[in-house]
Amino acid sequence: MSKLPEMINKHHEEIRADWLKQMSTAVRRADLISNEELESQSRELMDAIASGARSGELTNLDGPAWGQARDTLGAISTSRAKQGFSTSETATFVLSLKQPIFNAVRRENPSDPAALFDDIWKSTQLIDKLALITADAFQASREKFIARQQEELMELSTPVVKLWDGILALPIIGTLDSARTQVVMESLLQAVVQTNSRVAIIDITGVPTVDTLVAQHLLKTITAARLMGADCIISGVRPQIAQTIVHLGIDLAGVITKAKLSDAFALALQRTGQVVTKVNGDNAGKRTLLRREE
Amino acid sequence: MKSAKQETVPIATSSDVVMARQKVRQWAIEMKFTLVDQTKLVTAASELARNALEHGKGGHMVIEQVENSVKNGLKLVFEDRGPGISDVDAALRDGFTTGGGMGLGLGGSKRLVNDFQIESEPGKGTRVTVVRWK
Amino acid sequence: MHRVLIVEDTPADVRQSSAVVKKLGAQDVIALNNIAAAILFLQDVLEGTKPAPDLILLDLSFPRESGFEVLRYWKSNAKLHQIHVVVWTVMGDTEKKLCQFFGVEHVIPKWAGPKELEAALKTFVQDSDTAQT
Repeated sequence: MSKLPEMINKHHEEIRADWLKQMSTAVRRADLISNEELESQSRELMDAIASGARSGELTNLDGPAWGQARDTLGAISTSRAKQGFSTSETATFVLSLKQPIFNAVRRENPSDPAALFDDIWKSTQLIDKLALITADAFQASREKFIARQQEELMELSTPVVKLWDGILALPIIGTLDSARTQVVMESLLQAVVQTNSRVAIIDITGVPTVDTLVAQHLLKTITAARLMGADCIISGVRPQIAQTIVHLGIDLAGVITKAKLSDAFALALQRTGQVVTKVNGDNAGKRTLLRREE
Repeated sequence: MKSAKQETVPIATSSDVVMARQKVRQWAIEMKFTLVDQTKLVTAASELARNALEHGKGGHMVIEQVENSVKNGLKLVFEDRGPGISDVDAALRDGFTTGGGMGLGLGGSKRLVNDFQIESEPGKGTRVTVVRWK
Repeated sequence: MHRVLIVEDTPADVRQSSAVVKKLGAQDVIALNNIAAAILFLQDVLEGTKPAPDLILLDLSFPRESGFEVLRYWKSNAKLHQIHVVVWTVMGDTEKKLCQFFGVEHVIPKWAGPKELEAALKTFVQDSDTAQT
């Protein structure tokens, strides 16, 4: 029976002190993390490892005994992903625990090479596993972080544009089911009021998924616009989206949909009593002129 | 390390729903589903993941590539730890809603896939398993 | 609050609301039962052929065009937009929000009854009176 679990539990304070000393001499991202934070993270992690080691289980870290350690590593990874650390920098934080543990193992086994080798082997496996958990958690939280950033960026970049007299367009790019969607939709209604518009085109070419929540947001906006005498046209409804909407059972009867923004614009012009005419210029060739039909 | 045949995605926040959709789309593309089928799968995943989050207090989704004697398919399992559904038939009916939604999520997702199975035990949670075959 | 324009198509509500504004001191109450007439009236106000009202009491639900058409016209002109508008209608949260977008300060649900209208108009009358002095 290995003495390693007992040793870690008994000497975790010394190991931690040794670890901190090592980190203070090694290259450290002092620009990204404070000494206090490093200190508290190492304490939390060391306590969690000690508590995991008390179970005697060092090879399988999936069990409840190591839950605290997994959670701690997850939390550390999340905060480091936000702080801008790289994967290897984050994993190195955990891997740098090896040396202090080896030191402790050596102190414990001064005269038994076989036991020494066995404990070093076991502890290196343990730390590798912990580092792997960290790297996975780090990747996951960074993906999540990036996805959220993209999402926010995307919905922010959708201002309402005035296409023509009385015609507004809201091109939406990105997901349409976050809390921000309502804000975006309200900004359209507000713009209808500000510009006294009669037609609002909501272009969903850049929306990857239209599910019932998205449809609900759209329908609510259309109803509200209609209340104040403005028609909405949904453009950018790709065939696969149209088909999916039908299968979902969403009733879009009474909602004007167009495949392309240009079709929607042509219809909007027509609705607001404006026409597009082609005129032949003397030397400039053909150009398109919009004129108001009185 | 992600296995080629199976992957688990946690569903604990609304950005996890976005992540779940992205994963399903990625798998559906890799398995060379048609654009229409990709869209159906992703949309069903979106509904079911949000159900797990909003009614089931979160849970997870397991994506798995499955095959029978003739074809390949993508199987999605949504498990939550919520209050469960006492009347599954009612929940599947269009227009049934306990929240502020349209009440089309469950019935709608059923129409977007080929196999649809729902197991629920009041007090324990709900598991929805769907498969779309190629 | 001297001149009040009431845009309302339900006769009972016209009676109730004009009684309320008269009680609060209105001398000249004009009641119109359709949107087109209301907009024509506001056009006349703009052209100076009719004196501007101090207050417009507006219902939103009409069989064809809604009261929002009056709000659109009212908002499209800076001079008209100075006239106080009180919306008194049967409504939900959406209508209320839209009214706010138009810059309507007072939105009172009809289901709250004429007492509520009176209470709201009372504070409003005091506000506008102090503003004038």
